[in-house]
Amino acid sequence: MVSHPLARTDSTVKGEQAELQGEALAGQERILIADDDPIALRSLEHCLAGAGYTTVSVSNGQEALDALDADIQVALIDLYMPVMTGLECVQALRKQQRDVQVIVVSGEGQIKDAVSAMKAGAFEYVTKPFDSEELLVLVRQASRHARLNRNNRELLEAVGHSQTATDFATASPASVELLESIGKLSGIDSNILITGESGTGKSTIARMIHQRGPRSNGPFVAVNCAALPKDLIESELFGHAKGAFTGATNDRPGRVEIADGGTLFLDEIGDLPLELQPKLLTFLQDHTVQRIGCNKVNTVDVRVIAATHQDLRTMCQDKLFREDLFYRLNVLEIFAPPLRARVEDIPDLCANVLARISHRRQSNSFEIAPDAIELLGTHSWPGNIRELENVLERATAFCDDCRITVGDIRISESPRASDDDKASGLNQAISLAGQTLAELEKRAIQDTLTACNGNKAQSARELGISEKSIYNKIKRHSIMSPPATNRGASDQ
Amino acid sequence: MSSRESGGSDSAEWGHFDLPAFLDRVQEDREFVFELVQMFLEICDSRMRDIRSALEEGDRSGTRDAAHKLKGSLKFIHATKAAKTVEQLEQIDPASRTELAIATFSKLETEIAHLCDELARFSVSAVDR
Repeated sequence: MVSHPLARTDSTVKGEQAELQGEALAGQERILIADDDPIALRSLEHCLAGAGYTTVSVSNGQEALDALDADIQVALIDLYMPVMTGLECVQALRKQQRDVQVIVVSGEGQIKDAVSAMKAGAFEYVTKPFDSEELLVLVRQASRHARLNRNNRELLEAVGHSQTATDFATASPASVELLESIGKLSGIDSNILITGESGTGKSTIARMIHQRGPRSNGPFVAVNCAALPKDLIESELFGHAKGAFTGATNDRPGRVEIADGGTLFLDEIGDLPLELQPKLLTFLQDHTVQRIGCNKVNTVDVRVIAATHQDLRTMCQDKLFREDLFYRLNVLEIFAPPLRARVEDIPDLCANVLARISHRRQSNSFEIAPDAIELLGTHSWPGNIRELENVLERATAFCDDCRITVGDIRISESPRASDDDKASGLNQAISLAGQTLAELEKRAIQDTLTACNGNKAQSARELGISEKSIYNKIKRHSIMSPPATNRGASDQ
Repeated sequence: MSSRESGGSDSAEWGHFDLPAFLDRVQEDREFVFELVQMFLEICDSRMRDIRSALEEGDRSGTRDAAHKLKGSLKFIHATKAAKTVEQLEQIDPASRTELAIATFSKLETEIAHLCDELARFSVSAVDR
């Protein structure tokens, strides 16, 4: 009954708990496990096999490097092993630029070393004896992360573009300007605020700035302030000491500390609770952090990039966001233009997205007919690039022989009316049908602001309303407008 | 073979390892507990021998490494008492007197002996079920 897993083995047990996680059945994935303790190794195998994963087990870091192949995207590696330690293994993987995501397995009291491993490129760490559910959540996250990285890299190799240029280095003047801004601001080691509507690629811009900047060898740590529960966000950002609250079973560094030497990306910063804003401000001013329940103050060297789809200036006026924090974050500002302001990019974006989809599905390359591209160019894209991706994803499901035609394009919202159509008023009436007056008003203000480069006074004149009214309406509709002043190098 | 079938005596019966916590961690899979217990019984002697020989050679870092290894295994089978003692051994300051390490190892030997007895009894009872 007892198997002795010190020798390398392949376990292909598929457990009853195997479940679809939206993307792939866990059983299709192979996970590498490296631990010199057979009991720990067997426990990891049991946990992963129970969730439907296939495992490859080895007993030291060197064997782990040898056992890695292109199919393995996640590795669980013990920190202390003979021949080659877990940390050395992570460093070697980073040097080889392997796609695999490493979850470090450490004992209690080795947290400092686990954090070092994360700084060296590990995805996360768990402590022994691990909690099965926590481990499986991490494995799924790591797997998704690895898959995205791999898709992105292979796509970039395929299209022959330099990394990070994917979504922007295309045809519109707005994108060219944006790329120039990114190039200029990347080298300046100051905090940056990226503004723009949802789905315009703000997190991609943040990553590009990191990769092109002086901290590219350091970690890039992203936190979505809107995705974290309010009561967890402080602990996630700043860490906690053991016993600081119920469930705090270990000392744990926050994301701010983990980003030491690199970049901390605070996405959806407008959703950071007001009560936490002073703590973030202190960190931005003093570069120090204090974990919850701990008196010790740690100094960290981090560049902060924040992003939001909300109008922080208006939020400051409404006392929903601290003005002093806003100015600390907004040392430099970049505006991510909406897709409707860069329709010339749509053909290239389609090509990139379709290449990614065909790669992910391991299918033939998708093609899109010119009239289908033309149709996409008439839509207003309120959901921006993310919406375009969804439309194309759906189209690839409906199309025949990997060729997308007009009939395969299903857009829920009415298309954008052309200037000629506006003049005739006919198509405009069609496109406006079924929308509420509030929606129409919001759209009219958004489009006018974009056309006027965010100039509110000019927009008000165009719309035939007072300046005061446009401010009130922007606030009421939570409209994110391109900043008209203080735009620096990011002017679009 | 769930913990419910054991008549609820898991914690009372086993003083040297925390069977309820162990079962909880492995989703009540008693067969898997049995498997890990057998693995521990197989490797325990060699782990203890490693510590003993490092101690006898005055090799403090070897002692610490061997103790660390045993500690990991003990934690996985929820043998908290022995894990604590071996942790003490692991953390003894290399500059301190050897007698302290030897005394701690002696305590560990006693606890491991009790633990192994208990694990052997658990194994027999598991097979009987």
